[in-house]
Amino acid sequence: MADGPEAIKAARNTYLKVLFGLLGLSLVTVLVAWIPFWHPSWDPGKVGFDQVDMIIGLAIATFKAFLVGYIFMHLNHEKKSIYWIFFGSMVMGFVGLMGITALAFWDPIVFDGFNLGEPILKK
Amino acid sequence: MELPYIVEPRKDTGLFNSKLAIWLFLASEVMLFGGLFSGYVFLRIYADFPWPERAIPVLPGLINTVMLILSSVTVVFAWSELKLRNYRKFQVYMGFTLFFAAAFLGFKYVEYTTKFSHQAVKMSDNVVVEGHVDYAALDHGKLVYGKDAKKLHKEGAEKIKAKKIEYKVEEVTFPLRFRMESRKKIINKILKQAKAQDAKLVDESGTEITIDYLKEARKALYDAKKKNAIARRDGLRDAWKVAKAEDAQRIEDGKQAEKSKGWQLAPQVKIDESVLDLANETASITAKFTKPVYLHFGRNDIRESEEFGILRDGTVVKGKQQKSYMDMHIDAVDFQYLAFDAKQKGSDPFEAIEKSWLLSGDHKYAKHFKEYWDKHLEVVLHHNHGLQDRFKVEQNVTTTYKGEKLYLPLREIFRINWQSLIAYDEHYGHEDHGYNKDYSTFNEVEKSRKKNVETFIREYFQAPKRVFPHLKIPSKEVHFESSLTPKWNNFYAIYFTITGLHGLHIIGGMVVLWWFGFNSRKIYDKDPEWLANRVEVGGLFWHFVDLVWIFVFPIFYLM
Amino acid sequence: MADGHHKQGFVSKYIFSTDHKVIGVQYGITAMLFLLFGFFLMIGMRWSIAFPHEPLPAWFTWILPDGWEARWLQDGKVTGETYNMFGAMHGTIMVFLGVVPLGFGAFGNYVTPLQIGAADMAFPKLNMASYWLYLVGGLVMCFGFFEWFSDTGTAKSGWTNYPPLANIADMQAPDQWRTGQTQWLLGLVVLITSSLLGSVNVITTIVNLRAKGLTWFRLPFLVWAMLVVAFILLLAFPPLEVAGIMQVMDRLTGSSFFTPTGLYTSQVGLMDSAGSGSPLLFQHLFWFLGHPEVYVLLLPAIACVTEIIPTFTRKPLWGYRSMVYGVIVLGFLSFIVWAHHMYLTGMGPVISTFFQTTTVLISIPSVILITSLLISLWGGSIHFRMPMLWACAFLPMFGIGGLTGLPLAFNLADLHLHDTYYVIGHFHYVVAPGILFGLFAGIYYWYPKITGKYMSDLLGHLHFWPSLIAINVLFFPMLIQGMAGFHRRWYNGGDAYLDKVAGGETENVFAATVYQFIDLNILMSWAAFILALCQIPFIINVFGAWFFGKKVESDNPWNATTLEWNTETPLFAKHGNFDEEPKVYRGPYEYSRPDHDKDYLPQWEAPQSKPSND
Repeated sequence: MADGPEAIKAARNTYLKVLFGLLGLSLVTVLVAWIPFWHPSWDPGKVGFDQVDMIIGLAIATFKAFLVGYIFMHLNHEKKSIYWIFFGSMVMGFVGLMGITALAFWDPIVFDGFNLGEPILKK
Repeated sequence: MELPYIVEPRKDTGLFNSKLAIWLFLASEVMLFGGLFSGYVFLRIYADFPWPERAIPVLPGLINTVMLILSSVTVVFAWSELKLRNYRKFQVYMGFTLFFAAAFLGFKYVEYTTKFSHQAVKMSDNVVVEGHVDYAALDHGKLVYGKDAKKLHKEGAEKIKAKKIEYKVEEVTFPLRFRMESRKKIINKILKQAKAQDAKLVDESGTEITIDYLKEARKALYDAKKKNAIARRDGLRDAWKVAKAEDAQRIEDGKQAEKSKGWQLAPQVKIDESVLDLANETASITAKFTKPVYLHFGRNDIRESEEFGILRDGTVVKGKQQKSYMDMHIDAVDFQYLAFDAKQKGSDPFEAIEKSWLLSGDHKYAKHFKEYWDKHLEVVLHHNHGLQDRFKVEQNVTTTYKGEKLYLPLREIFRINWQSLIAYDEHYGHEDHGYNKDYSTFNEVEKSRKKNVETFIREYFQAPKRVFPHLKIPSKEVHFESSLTPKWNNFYAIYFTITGLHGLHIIGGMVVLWWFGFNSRKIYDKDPEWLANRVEVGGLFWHFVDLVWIFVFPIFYLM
Repeated sequence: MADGHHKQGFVSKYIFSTDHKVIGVQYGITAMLFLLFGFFLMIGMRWSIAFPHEPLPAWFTWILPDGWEARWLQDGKVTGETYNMFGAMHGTIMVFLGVVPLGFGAFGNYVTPLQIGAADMAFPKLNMASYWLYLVGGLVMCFGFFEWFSDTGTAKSGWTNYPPLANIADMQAPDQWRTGQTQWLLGLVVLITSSLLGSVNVITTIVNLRAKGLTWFRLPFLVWAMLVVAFILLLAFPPLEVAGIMQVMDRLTGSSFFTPTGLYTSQVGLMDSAGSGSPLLFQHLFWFLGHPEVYVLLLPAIACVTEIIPTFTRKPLWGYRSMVYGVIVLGFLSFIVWAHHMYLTGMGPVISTFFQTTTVLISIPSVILITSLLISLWGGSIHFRMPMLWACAFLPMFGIGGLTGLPLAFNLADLHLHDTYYVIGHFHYVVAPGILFGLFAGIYYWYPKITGKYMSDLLGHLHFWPSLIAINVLFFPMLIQGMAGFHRRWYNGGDAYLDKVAGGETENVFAATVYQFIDLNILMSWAAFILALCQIPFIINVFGAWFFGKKVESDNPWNATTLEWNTETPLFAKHGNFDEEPKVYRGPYEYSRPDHDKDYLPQWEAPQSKPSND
C-alpha cells in the first residue's frame, strides 16, 4: 500500500499513464472491429465478423482488465491472499462456467474413440 | 472486548476487515457476471435465428466506455487526495466521478429509450421489418389510420399506437376467477371504450356492469364455493366412514376374506348429493352491449380468433374481428430470418424473398419495397464482384445467387439498413428524402454509405428529420411483434439483462460514493484513515463495475 | 469504530440486534418454524399419497380457512395442483428456509465467533441485515399461500423450477407480479443477497478475527466447516441468481431465455415468444448451485457432530488433519460434479463420464469425514448424553444416505433410478435422519450455554427414540419403491398406474409392480404422522426448558475444551463475549492427556510450565 506522500504522487503519474493507455486501447478495439472488409489489407482473415476480430477484441479487453486490476485496484502491492481469492474465482467463473458451454457444444452422442466428430452447428 | 482490524491491518494476513470483505464480494460478483456471460455464449451458440451483429450503435457505447474509464481514474485520485489529507480536492474528484457516472447513465437512458421506441415485426413468411409505429385515431370508436387519423389528431383526438387488434363486440363474458383488483385495468379499458361510444354493458338481469358489481358477484360465488366445499368434504368423509364400516361388516359376515384396499373401495364411495344443501355457483357473468361497440386491444393482451377473443384474465369478447393493421414507418428490412429458414429447408433464399408478401403481396407498398430490394441486390452483387480475389475462397462462401457465389456476410446481403433505404430513396427520387441530391450511379450510392465526416454528422444529428417509407401491415400477416426489448429476441434479452444489472450496480456504487464523498466530514474529522479505507473499498467496487463494462462493450457492441 | 457502551432499548437489543448470538438464535427459531411448516406441508402430501381418494382428515384441515379449502381442495381431497404446490414449497422451505439457515445461519453465527475468540462477527450490522433479508425473502416466497398476495397460489413447478413449465406456470394470471412463481423468484433473489452477505461476514471473521495463538490447525473443526460452507455459498449462489433473474425476465418481460422455439401449450396454443431459448441452460445454472448446496446442508451438521463426539468420548478427534484437508477438497470438488443431476438430458458419453468420475471422487472426502468420526469412537469413554445419542445416530443414518447415493453417481444406474422414489429416499436419508439429527445434536449441546438451563433428558429421549424408528420406517421403503420404478411427484402414490380391474394379476408389468409395492405408501404415511407427533416433546423441551429446566451451575457443563465454553452462562446478548481477550495455547481436542490430571485440557488454559506445541 503506498503510504508516504511521495509514493502517492508517483503512483498518480502511473494512474495517468494507465488512463491514457486504457483510452487508447478502447479506441483500438473499436477500430480493429470496425475496419470494413473492403479494405482487405487490414483484414487478416475471414470476411465480416470473424474469429480474429473476436480474439483480438477479447485479448485487448483482458489486458485492459488486467491494467485496471493491477494498478487501479492496487493488486500490485496487495498480499497474496487477495490474488488467490480473485484469481480462484476468475478461474472458476470463466473457465468453469464457460466450460459448461464448451462441453455442451462439443458433446457427441456417438463416442468413437476420442474423435469428437462433427460439431452440431455448421457454419 | 471490541472488534479489531477495522482500520489497521492484521499482521499475518496484511488485510483490514473491509478490504478482505470487498474482495470476497467481488469474487461472488465475478461468478454473477460470469454466469451471465456464459449464458450469453450458450444462447448465441444455440441460437436458431441470425444473431444480430452490430445491432447497437457503437458511438454511445464507446463514449460510455470512456466515461467509466475516466471515473475509475478520478476515484483513485480521490483516494490519493484523501491519503494526502486534502479533503476539498478529495471531494472535487469524487464529484467528477459521480459526474462521469451520471453521464454514463444518461447515455444508457438514451440508448434504452431509442431501443424501446423502435418496433420490430416478423411476418408470417419470416420477413422482418423494423421501424416506428405511427398513430391511429378513434372515429366514433373505430380505429382509423394514416391521413384520416392525422386529420382527427389535429382536431384533438387521442393518439393511439397503430398496433391494436380491433373487434366489433356484442357480448362479453367475465369469468369470476381472479380478484377484481388484479383485473381492474383490463375491465376498465373495456368499460371506458364502451362509454365513449355511448353504449352500456348490461347483464341478463339488466344491471349495468361495473367493477363493484363484478366484485359482489365474485364474493357471492366464493361464498357459495366455500359452503359447498365444506359440505362436500364432510359428505365425502361420511361416505368413506360408511364404506369402511360396510367393508368391515362384510369381513365379519364372512363374505370377504381380507380388508379392501382404498383404491378398491373408492369407486363405491360417492357423496350423497341429495343430503347436501349446495349453493348456486355462477362462475361467470355474460353481458351484452346495448349496441355493438368497437373495442381495441393491445396485441399482447388478447388471444385472437375470427369470432371472439380471450383476454389475459380469461374475459371473452364475442364479436367479429375487424381489419386491424400495424401502421409503421420502416427503417430496416431484414430478410436474414427468411434466408436462414430457407437455408435450413434447402430452398433458394432469393426466390423466397421475391415471393414474400412484402415484395409481391397485394398491397400498395409492394412496388416500393420491390424497388428497394432490386437496388439493394444490384449493390450487393457489385460489391461481391469488387472483392479482391484472395477473399473469393470456398470457405468464405455465404450463399449463392442464381449460381453466382457470394462472399459477403449474410448481414450485408440480406439486411437493408436505414442508410441504404435513404440512399435508394434518393436514387429513385422519392419524395421522402432529407437532402437534395440525385444519385444516379452506383458509385454515388456507395459514397453515401462510406463513413466520411459529412455522413457521420448527418447520421447522428439529422436522422430524426427524415421520413421513412410507410407500410401498413394487416394483422394476419403479423406473426410476432415487439419493440426492441427483451421480448424481441435473446440478443436483446441478454443485452438488457446484463447492462441493466450493470446499471443497477452503477447506481448502487454512486450512492455509496456520494455518501463517502459528501456526507463524511464528521468521519474525516474523527478518523481520516478510516474514511480513506472506506473510500478505497468503495473504489475497488467501482473499478470492478468498470471491469465488467470493459468486457460488455466489445462483446455486445462490436461482435 | 468503537461504539459507546450506552444502554440499549429492548428493540435494538433483542429484535434489531447486531449481536451475533441474538442473530444466531433468531435464525434458529425462524428456521425451526419454517421446518415445522414444511413438515406440515409434507403431511398433506403423504396423506394424498397413501389415501388419494379420501378427503384430508379433520386434524389437518382445522387450521385451513374455508376459502382456501374451496380453492385448493376438491371435495376435501388433495388435487394434483395442490400437491404440486405443497411439493415445490416443501422442498424450497426445507432446503433454503430451514436447514441452511439453521445450520449456517444459527450455528455458524452463534458458535463461530465464540470458538475463535472474537468479540462478534466482523460486520455486525451486515449480520443483522442478513437475518432480516432472510426473513423477508422467506416470507415473500411463501406469500402465495395467501390470496391477498397471489392470484395463483405459490410456485408449483417443483423446488427445481425447471422451464418451460416454470416459465409458463400461471400464465393466465392477469397480473404477473401476483403469481406465486414470480414471487418465489423475487424471494429467492432477496434470500441469495442475505446469504452472500452472511458468507462474506463469516469468512472475514474467521480469517481476520482469530484470537492470539489460534493458528489454522488449532481451529476447531466446526470453524473449518463453516469456512468451507461460506466459500461455497459465496461462489455457487450467483449462477442461481442469474437463473432466477433470467426466469423473472422471461415471466415479466416476455423474453425467451428458456423458451424453446415453437413451444405449444394447451392453454394458449403456440406461445407468443421469440423462442430460441434453452431449458437446458436453466438446469446447468440451477445445479451449479444445487450441488454445492447439498454440502452447505451437510457440513454444519458434521461440524456439530465433530464437536460433540470428542466431548462425550473424552478422547481427541481421530484424524483431525485428514478431516480438515478432506473438507477443503470436498469444497473444491463440489463445484465440478453438478451434471450428475442431469444425466438424462441427452448428454453424450464424454461429459457424463467426466461428471461420473468427479462424483465418485467426491465420495472419498465424505468417507474420510465419516470414517474419522467413527474411529473417534473407538476406545472412548462414551457418555451417552442426549447430544451424543443424536450424534451417534447421525453416523449410520448419514452412512446409509451416502451409500445409497453411489448408484445414482453412475450414469448407467441413474438411467433407471433418476426421478424415482429412490432419489427421494436417498436425499431424505441424508438430510432428515442424517443432517437434521446432527443439527438436533447441536441444539441439545449448546442449549445450556445459550439459556443457562439443561434441556429435559426425559423429553429428549421421548423425542429421540421414536423419531429414529419412525424416520427409518418412513424413508427406507422409498428406496425399495424407487428401485421398483415408482416415480417422484406422483400425487396419488401410483394409484393411476394400477390395473384397477385385475389388481395384482395383470399382464401390465408396471401395474403389477406398482400393485406389489403401493401398500408401502400407507406404512410410510403412518410413520410420517407418528414422526410428527414425536416432534412435540422437542417443541415443549425447547421452549419449556428455558423456564423449567435444571439450572446450569458451571460455565462449562460438558467439560469441553473449545473456546466457547470459556464464557459466562447463559450467553445471550452479552456485548463482546469475553471479559478479557482470550489466548489459545493448544489444539482443540486435548482430552485425556496422560500428563494431565483432569481428563480434558481446555484451549484457553495457560500451561503450568511450558506451552505445548500442538
